[in-house]
Amino acid sequence: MDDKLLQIFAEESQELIDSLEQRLLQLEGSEDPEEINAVFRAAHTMKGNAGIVGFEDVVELTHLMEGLLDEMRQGRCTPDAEVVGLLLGAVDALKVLVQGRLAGQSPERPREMLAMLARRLGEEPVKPPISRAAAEGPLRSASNGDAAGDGQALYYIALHLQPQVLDSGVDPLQIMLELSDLGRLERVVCHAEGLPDFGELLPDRLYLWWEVWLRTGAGQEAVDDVFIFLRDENDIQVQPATGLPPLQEAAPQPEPAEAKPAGAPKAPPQPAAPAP
Amino acid sequence: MNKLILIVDDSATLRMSVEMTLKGAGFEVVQATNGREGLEALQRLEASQRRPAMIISDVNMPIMDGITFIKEVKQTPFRYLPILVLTTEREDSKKLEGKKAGASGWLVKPFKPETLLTVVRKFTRSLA
Repeated sequence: MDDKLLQIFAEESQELIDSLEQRLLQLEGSEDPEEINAVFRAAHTMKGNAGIVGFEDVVELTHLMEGLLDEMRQGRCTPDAEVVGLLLGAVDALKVLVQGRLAGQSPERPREMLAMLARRLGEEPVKPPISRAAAEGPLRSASNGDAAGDGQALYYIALHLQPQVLDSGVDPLQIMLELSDLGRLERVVCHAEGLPDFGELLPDRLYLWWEVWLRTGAGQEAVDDVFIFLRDENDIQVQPATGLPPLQEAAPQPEPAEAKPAGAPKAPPQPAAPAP
Repeated sequence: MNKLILIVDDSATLRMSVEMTLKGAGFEVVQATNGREGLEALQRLEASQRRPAMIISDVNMPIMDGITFIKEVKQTPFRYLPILVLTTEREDSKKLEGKKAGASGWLVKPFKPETLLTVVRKFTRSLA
């Protein structure tokens, strides 16, 4: 664990713990939602930071403190002497844990305090649901890093994006680049039939849609992950394909002045845009 | 010149952790502690003619929260920059709010450095 990161954590923890303590001392009987929110945020940030540096026991304790403070924030619990006293006790336990961990020790789990907080919350004293898998679930291919594919497969992708998609910082080119990272873009067909006359064209609207045939050994999950933030509002199809459809013939060329001799081969149709 | 990423979050620990991850992958990082500072950072970058490749922003911050910040950014010349929102498990509604405000994606805390990099690369590819 990086020294620099731990140092920032230590400094910030000191500030947060001080802030927690001082605000709690003032909190009894308070009706001020801003004050309650400030205490909540201090516990919330403390919990987040502990997660970053891997102090799971600190996460456990601050999770319960945060829960109780959230009840207060929602108005389901008033900051009476008992609750405030309990939270101040929790801050003391927090100090012990943080100091111990920063010193490289393994401090004892504050069972009693955890139980009291849990009871007050009406919960069983269980460990908080820090399910990294759930948190990062959608990005499966990033999390476990092993490709599902045991060979190259061809996928057909139909990419219909909303016209206003550019407003959300989406760039179709980046999508294509991300797909091409997974393998080879065997064919890309850009459909421009939605393009209005130039005078009506708005430069920040998207009028195009695409069909892509991607050959990849990375598996369908990896392909789906490319569209993870886009799926909900856009019409995107990803499905296995058995092969490339026949190329469409190029538009007929105007007849040359001199007729071609009979039997001469026609020029073969040109393939669509090559993969970058 | 390296690609630049703006990180807006009120936690110094998180900003440092993200900066370490991104710098390690060759990005330049600018930090801001809340939405207002984020907007000021963008103004400074614009003045020095530098453009971030993307913005990463927390939701809960004092002075100016993440959703408001995103809406404000959409009023600036940086309105087409990809914005990634950092949410926590309890804040599913924030993902939706972020999206409506124009965020490009989200990441749930706590996240692994590899996950952050995967998502960042998703939004910062270029042909070069």
